Amino acid sequence: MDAKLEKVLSAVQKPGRYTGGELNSVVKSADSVGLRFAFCFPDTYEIGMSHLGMKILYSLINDREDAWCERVFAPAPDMEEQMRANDIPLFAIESKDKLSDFDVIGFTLMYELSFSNVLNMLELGGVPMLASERHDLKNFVVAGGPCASNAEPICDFVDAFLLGDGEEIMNDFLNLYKEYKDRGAGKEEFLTVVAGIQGVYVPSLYDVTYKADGTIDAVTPKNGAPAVVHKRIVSDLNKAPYPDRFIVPFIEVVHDRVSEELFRGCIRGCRFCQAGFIYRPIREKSPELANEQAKALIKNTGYDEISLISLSTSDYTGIQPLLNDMIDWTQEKNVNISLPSLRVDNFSDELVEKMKLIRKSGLTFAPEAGSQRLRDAINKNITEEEILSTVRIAFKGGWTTVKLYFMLGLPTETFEDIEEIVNLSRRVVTEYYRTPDKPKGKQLVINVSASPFVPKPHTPFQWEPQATTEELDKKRAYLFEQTRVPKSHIHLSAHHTDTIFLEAVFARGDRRLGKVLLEAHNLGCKFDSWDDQLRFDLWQQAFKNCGVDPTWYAYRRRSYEEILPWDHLDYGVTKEFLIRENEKSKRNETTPHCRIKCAACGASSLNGGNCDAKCKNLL
Amino acid sequence: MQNARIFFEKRGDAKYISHLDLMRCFSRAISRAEIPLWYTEGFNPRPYMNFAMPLSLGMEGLSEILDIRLNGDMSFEEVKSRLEKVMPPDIRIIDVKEPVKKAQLVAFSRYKIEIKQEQMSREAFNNAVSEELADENLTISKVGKQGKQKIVKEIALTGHIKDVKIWSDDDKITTVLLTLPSNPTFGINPNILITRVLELISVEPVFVHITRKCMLDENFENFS
Repeated sequence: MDAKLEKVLSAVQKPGRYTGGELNSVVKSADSVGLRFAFCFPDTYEIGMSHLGMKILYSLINDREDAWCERVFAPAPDMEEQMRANDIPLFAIESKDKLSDFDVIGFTLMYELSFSNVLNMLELGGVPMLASERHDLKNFVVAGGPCASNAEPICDFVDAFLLGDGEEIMNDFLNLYKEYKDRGAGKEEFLTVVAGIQGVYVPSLYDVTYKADGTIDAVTPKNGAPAVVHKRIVSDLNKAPYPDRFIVPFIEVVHDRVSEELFRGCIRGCRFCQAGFIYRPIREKSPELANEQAKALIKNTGYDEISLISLSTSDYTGIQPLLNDMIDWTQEKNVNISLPSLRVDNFSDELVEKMKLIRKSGLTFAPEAGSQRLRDAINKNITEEEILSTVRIAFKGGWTTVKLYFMLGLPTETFEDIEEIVNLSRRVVTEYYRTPDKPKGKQLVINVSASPFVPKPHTPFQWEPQATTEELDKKRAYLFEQTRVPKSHIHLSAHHTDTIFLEAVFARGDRRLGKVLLEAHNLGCKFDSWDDQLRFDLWQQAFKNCGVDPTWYAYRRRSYEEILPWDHLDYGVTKEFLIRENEKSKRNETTPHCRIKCAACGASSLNGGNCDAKCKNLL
Repeated sequence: MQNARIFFEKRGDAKYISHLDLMRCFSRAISRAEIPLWYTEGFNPRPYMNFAMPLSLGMEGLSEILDIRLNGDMSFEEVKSRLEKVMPPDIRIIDVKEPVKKAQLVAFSRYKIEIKQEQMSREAFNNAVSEELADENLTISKVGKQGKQKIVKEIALTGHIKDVKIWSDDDKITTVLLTLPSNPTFGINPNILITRVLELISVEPVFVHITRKCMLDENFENFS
């Protein structure tokens, strides 16, 4: 390590974020590989190292003999200051080589508020930020992750987006890149060819024109690029590559445990939830394979906790056999199993019995809305009785802390729905006192969290306006007034943040936001999802300087006829389905989940008609 | 139940691993190696692990000590060979032995301090460092706590710095070997010491590398 970096490391917080050398990290010789890939996570090490997608792709790329994948994270503000002062470019933590040394620079876009960090990282790494200013095949910037489903706001900075499941598309992309690199081909030629791979979206091959009212007039592909880019999917999760070892960080990271993925996609179709639509169709892993993989991961990492993850873990059809298989060996090894994402309508006594054997962690349930009407409108598909019976089971099982998660500002929400959040929380408290065999000697705590709703692309609410900051503040104030009473047992967290507004703007933005992003970066915006780093004043300045009205993106209701900026990116669910769902929401009508009745969302067409929801009366 | 003392090196990038992180690192390594560890009894059982006089962040160590307690039979050779296979690259197991003395009896540590500087000739610099280290009036400030309040104490170093050797193999790098007290009740951090010395002679170093060579007992014997 060079002396400059070493000196800097002794002056910053948590130098372990930047040094690498962790168990199972991969070090190859830079000269012996033909392709160097920098996997960039636009947030700090602790957050990036918690991300499953990175672990999957890191091992997939490093399994290739001709490639070396390294990790790059956004330096924390104190480190960035030191790096800038000492002329240290952003580097990958395996080799400490600067970002501009890499062939392919891949970003994962988990949330819109990390966009400014993407620009900052490119700049810190000595890579021109704008795709149009990178003329060679070297430093080819790709991006994937959920925010690629509306790539437009950040498309000025990215050469190609990889849509859908990364493990399916990555090798196709890398093979082609390698071929063109070895041949000494130019970037323009490569862009045209790579756009032919299914799932690759090359934004520079599309011209976007606008109408007088500011909406999109047309998106026109050129040089043979496809009119619509279809995302790629792993067709069978049992055959998909999954790492048998994770890097074991030295410093504590956010999710400091092994994650075993159970299935991809979700049967529920909650109308506000982007993940519930963009990861369709459902693909399940067999419980036998999940158990085997979990065992290997624990053995190869030495972790004492394993998290069984998916979008809705209790919907996993193999949950009982899997837990049966896992209980014995995990207990013997003192390994804790955590089950995030449980639903209230299938939280059974049987599951509680299993969970009692596992070390106790908090229980979180998400009614999302206070009233039945609104829960129906958002298609949450749970009843108040189900919520109460679930907490009853939990109280009987010995839990005294329960977290309830709600959203504020959902479409069709009225003040009565907000009142119902308070009423429901109170009924949960009453339920506790009614439970005869409730735990003794512990204080009951109902943590109520209320977060603002942000309409997202590829969901039935993609046409809906975001609630204004004023409306949200009013609702929040009401909730605080009602719950900040002695002995209520209700602890409310509902922070006001300007981040929600920015998220709403970028979630459904178009490519005209690229210049705002660049301006905000030049003004010094970064780490926008961190309350202590967000400079909303600078963002407002950036919008003003660029003559862009952010409220047009956040607060405007779109018509079904409008061409949306992401309409040419196909994630499987059809627009007709989303319109049907939006209309049903206005009538407070629910759609049963995919195992009861197939709603004909269209996503199975990406998988040759296969969907593991296995509904018997497929439409 | 069997006590085992693990001697290990912590070098390279591993010097940036804090004590708490090192604890976690070893606990996972022991679990990967499937070494049967004795767990404390109680509501949240924890494996018994204890580091003797943990190193400060940023220093390398050539003979660090971790005491563990085994549950069941496993030879020290077996523990060593299993651990060797599962350690991260910059932490190397040197030996596993039966502890002779209690870890609390570590009294001193021997350090190697390498300083690169470009402001003075090596003779002048080496002499200046020697003189400062020998100065009876040399003090360092230490932040301590009195109740909840933080207080800064000036500590006189007279008589505490032992066995000093200074030389240069290279024009720009000076090596200082010295022994400092390091026990649970009183210790001198070599980094604070050398920073103070460099301040006094107004030298801004290019780098300072500190390595703990070993720990010593009250008779200045290698700790075992």
